[in-house]
Amino acid sequence: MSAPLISVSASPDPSAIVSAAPSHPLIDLTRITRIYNAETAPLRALDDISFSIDAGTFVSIVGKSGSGKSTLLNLIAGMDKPTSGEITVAGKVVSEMTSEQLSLYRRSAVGMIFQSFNLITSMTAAENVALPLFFSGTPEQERNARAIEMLETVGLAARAKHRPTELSGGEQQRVAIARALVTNPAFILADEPTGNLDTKTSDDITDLLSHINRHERKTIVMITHDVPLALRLSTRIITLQDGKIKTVDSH
Amino acid sequence: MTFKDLIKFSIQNLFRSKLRTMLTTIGVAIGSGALVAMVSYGTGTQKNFTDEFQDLELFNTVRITSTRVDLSTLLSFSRQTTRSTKDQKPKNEVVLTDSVLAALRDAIRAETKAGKLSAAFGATSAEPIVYPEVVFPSKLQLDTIETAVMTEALPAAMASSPGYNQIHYGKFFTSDSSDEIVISEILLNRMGLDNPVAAIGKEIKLTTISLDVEKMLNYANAPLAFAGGMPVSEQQYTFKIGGILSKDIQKLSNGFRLIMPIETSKKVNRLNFLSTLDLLRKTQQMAGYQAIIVRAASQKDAERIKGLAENMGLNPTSFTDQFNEFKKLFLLFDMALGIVGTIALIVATLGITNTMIMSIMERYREIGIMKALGASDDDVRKIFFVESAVIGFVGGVVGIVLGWLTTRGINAVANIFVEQQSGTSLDFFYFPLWLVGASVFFSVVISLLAGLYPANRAAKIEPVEALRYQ
Ligand SMILES: Nc1ncnc2c1ncn2[C@@H]1O[C@H](COP(=O)(O)OP(=O)(O)OP(=O)(O)O)[C@@H](O)[C@H]1O
Ligand SMILES: [Mg+2]
Repeated sequence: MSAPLISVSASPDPSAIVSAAPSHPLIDLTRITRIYNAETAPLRALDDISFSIDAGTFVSIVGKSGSGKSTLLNLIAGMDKPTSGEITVAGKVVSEMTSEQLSLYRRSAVGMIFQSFNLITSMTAAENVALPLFFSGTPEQERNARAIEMLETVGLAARAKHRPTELSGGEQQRVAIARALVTNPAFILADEPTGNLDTKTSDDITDLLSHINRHERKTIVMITHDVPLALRLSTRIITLQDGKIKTVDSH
Repeated sequence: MTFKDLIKFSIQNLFRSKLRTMLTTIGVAIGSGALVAMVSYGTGTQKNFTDEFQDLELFNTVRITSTRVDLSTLLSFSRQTTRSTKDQKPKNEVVLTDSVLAALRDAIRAETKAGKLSAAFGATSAEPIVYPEVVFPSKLQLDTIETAVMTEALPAAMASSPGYNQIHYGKFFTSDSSDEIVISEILLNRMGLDNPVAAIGKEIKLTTISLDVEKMLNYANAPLAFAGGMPVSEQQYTFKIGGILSKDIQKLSNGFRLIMPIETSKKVNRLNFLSTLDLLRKTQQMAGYQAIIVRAASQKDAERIKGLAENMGLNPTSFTDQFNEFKKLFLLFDMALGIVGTIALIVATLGITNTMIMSIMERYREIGIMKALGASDDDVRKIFFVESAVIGFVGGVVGIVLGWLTTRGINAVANIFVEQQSGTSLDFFYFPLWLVGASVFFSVVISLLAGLYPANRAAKIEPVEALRYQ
């Protein structure tokens, strides 16, 4: 693999990527448009969106179903490319990266959390948590140690050898959070992380995310339908409507 | 991902669908086993021949003929018979008479004296053995049983050559004009004599036919005269069995052999040809020998003698030359076997393609997850590539074991018949180390090719799409 674009070591040093460009925001989107099926039946999922996210903030993205929230998150995650516009993360233009560079970017800078957990069912909790380190070529021993450490952070060290099917929904999501944190990414992207959970478990998960944001100063971008929750947790709320930003509320 | 990680990860993945992996691997093992068995049969056969020829020191022999066997000369010759006598002999044709034989002997002797050949050959003879090739059809009668056999004639000096120096019963004739003959044990068995020792000293009767050549040539001018039948006559001779060639000495070239001393054979009226094509030749040529054989002390000497004969205007072929021709046939044979084996292996590896495609479909979402977590296209490609290679490797290794066991089985069964026939056993298959290495390597390479398409397909999966997939 080529040299890392954004150097994020396995050791906890969240300031590394942030301090690289103190005058710039961590994530910067300029005039982003994403049109699906441009040739056949064009659908403007995102329409000329610009905003930025500062390091250490907790940003919630709300909006009706189909408003373009996931599309936006996928673009920031480097899993999709905008039809036009520019996405910059810590001064690097993500929207112009090759697929090889994007995988390196995802591996080192992005931590992903999904509504449906997306754990690999054939692997134990610890193996799931260690998986991102596997792709970065971290030695096995270090991988395992980091995985256990992360499971401890989310309070699941005792379940390290369990498979996802042996865990509750909330526990699975906590394993997924541990996995997102294991590479010590610059930020965490969460697409409705509590969407599949009951209220009580949801609160546990959001508390955990809030804790990570506050105590580890980890930038979090979270999609949610739960506006009161967003109000309670976030430093900023971006509301999308039909692919456009309707409002931006700061606290 | 380190290589070790990849291997471990792939094996882990393969273990998730044990039955499918096992069936695919067995398929590859059978294909690779078939290939290994086929090639090992080819190499085994070649080795058996080479070994025996080497044991018999055949690589030290040179065969000298009067002309190259050239169909065009034969055909032009048959046209020429109707024309008058002069200038009919094709160029380069020397009749192999006794004087040619003597000249060749002298030349070789001079060469030996000059120290250009290895000093001694065998235990008794101090120089290469030079003798005319004599083989003729005959009918052999022992007690009341009769059989047809090609009788050969050899000089007594051959007694010290491999193949003849280990006569198990009796002895090889000690004089070129002895009335003792040497017979192979197998031929004796065919004639109903199971106890070779009892045969020593027994009388046998040999009937030969000879052709009145003058009459034969007259027929050519009066074709209707053929109605009276061929101008042939039969003669009968009596010999004593002096020695018996044991079954164990020669394995492949062992056969029904009857050998008489070379001088004795001159007194036997016989047909001086092996094929009917020879009938078209003239009297003069038929008076000569078909060939002269020189047995030298080493392969190097044989090559030297070959040069000597060439200088004399003769037409020598060393056994090595003949064997090289023979080896070309082996190459074809090996290729045919190899192709059949390779097809079996390719069919088996198509199973890998199938397994991998199924595996990718099942793990579609998982591939999306891995990509979202930072796996590159290359990482995904490698994972599936290594999975194919692991199947190929394990299949290849198991295939060798399978191939080996199969060939041992076939060998055991085949040898039941071989032993009945010749009393000795023979290994038909040969497993050189290169075959073991090459077959595993080949199996891995073919498996990688089989994994090429699935691995690329997996690498191209879009993570967003895969994650939406339920
Ligand atoms: N791959 C795709 N091809 C075509 N259209 C798509 C694709 N992905 C999303 N869309 C469309 O783009 C629009 C935005 O989708 P998106 O998934 O971003 O919405 P969302 O805000 O995340 O909705 P939800 O809250 O239901 O998850 C929708 O109209 C959707 O149908
Ligand atoms: Mg969505």
